[in-house]
Amino acid sequence: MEKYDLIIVGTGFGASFFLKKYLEKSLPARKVLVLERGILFPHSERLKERRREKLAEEYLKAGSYSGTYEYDNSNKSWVFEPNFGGSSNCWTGCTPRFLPNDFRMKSLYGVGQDWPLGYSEIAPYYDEVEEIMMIGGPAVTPFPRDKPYPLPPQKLSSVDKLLAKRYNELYISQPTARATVAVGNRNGCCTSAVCELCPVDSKFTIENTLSSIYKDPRVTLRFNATVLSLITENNQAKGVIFQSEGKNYEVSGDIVALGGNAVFNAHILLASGDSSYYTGRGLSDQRGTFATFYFHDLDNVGGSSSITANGYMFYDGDSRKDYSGCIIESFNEPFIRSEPGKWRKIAKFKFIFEDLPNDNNRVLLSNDPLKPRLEYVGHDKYVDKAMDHLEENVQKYFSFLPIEKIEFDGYFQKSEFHICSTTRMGKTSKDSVIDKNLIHHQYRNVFVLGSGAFPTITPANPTLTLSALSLMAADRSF
Amino acid sequence: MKRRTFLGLAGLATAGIAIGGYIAFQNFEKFARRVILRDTASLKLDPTEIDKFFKAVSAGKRNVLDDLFPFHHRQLLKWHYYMDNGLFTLPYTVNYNAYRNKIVLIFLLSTNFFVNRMDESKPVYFTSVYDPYQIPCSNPFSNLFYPEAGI
Repeated sequence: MEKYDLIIVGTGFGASFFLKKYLEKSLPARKVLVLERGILFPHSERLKERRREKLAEEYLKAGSYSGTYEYDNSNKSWVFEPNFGGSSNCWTGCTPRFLPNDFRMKSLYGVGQDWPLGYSEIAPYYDEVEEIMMIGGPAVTPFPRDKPYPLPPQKLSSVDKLLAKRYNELYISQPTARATVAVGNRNGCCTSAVCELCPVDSKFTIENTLSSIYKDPRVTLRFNATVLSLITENNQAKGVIFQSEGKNYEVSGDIVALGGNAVFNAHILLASGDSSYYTGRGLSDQRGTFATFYFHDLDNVGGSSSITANGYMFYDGDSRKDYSGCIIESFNEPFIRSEPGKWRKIAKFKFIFEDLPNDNNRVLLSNDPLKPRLEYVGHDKYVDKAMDHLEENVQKYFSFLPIEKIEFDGYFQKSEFHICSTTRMGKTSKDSVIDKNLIHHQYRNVFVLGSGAFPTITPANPTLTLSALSLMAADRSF
Repeated sequence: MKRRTFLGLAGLATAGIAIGGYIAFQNFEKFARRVILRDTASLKLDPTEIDKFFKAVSAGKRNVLDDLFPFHHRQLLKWHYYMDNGLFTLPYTVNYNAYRNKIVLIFLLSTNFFVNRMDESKPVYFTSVYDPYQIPCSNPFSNLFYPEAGI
């Protein structure tokens, strides 16, 4: 059996930041195997697909998340990208940090769980990820920062400017991995507003910024390799079993890092006989809803790409004892109202609420060893209460604008694209699957990366935080 | 049931089926053209510019109307458009307004209207079908087009 010092599962954010730090701190003789279930589907080919141009045969085989798991709840979907670079290929590039209070929800507000680490511990790694991703952001933020963002902020729209002037650090140009000026292999964002696949390759992806780590001579990258389970013995992982083109293989490793998403990390652990009550439980995502604002005499122009700003006016505070915190996203896509003279006197905001991980929402084994089964009974009432307060909060914070009317969608989007909390971190195995360094409580040579680690999910986008956790885990362990 | 009542009801049912069939199966391009004509009535727009737009949409590798308006959106649009009146409105009005705005939006994005900063006194001409994957950086409401509005 082949033997490696480290086996990493996946090539998304969690896996790539972990590998980057590991390589920085490891000896030249180390051997790393990376197992990626998909293929390298390059950005240039993805653009061809979007333009309906002919693709080379090899890229027609690029898989999608559809059909990778068994699930029958049509009200909520779980979306991700199962190819090299993972969801860095389809994310929007929103990179707010969590607030210090997000790590202490139980102590401060009596809900959810406290994290086993605080903001000050993760802050240096936030800095490091922001440097690697070359984040653009404002000088003033609702979370503490020791230094300016590497790149200048996105420009605000005329509507955003009014809100920023009124609410200062509670309404900011959104910190973003859409490069605000050209940097590295990336072009500057020119606000095409189709960020899920940037036409000018401006947003950070693993492919455009971190693909060099996969060319390191210590690293062997194997595509089309779907990991089924760990090989374990006396509470230690001895290697993994993976399937490639219908055939099973075993490979041996001293350390295993699970860098799939929160569905597949949990599935691999369950298939390995992980007996923790918490493994697979807590499957969650934020819930978002849109509202369209119509203005009497205010053109909404001059903003930046898809999402220009973040509002924190009802994100944190004592209301979180009763209902979810909410982050606001100001959209800048080309939308209009079909009314003469009022074409762009309109704004679109998304209100995104945190959910509380519920043990009954879970990842399970199915009869097919390749496919997890997902059960989702629904989000917590905590979210519904926040939805009930939405109109009141919007009135409170937006009524100074020249509003003609507001149309609330009144329903939740099916996905915020953030799969969280199936392998939660905590102090002991009695309350969690992994410790604060992302090491499994039972299998002490297994790291479980990604947003599955989040004890509470906050209203904010998870990518920056999960990437910082990966850097921290590798930095402290090697 | 009296013969006259029966014939009346049958006539109504036949008319209902005919109208319903017309709405459900009406060519979407024709419908979209009608919406655009009505909603841009205040603009200096020659209808031949709308024809140029639809011709270009049909000729493109990527039919933006197919991408933007799945079947159920098309049905919602048509039923609302023909059935809503001063006394009665079908449900999902918010969605209807949004989809209807989107029809007009994709057309106007394909003209010089937004580049002229929505100046309704200037003639509107078709330029090319709006597609950020063919022509990136063309969001006409962004800071590239309104540099003075941003920070």
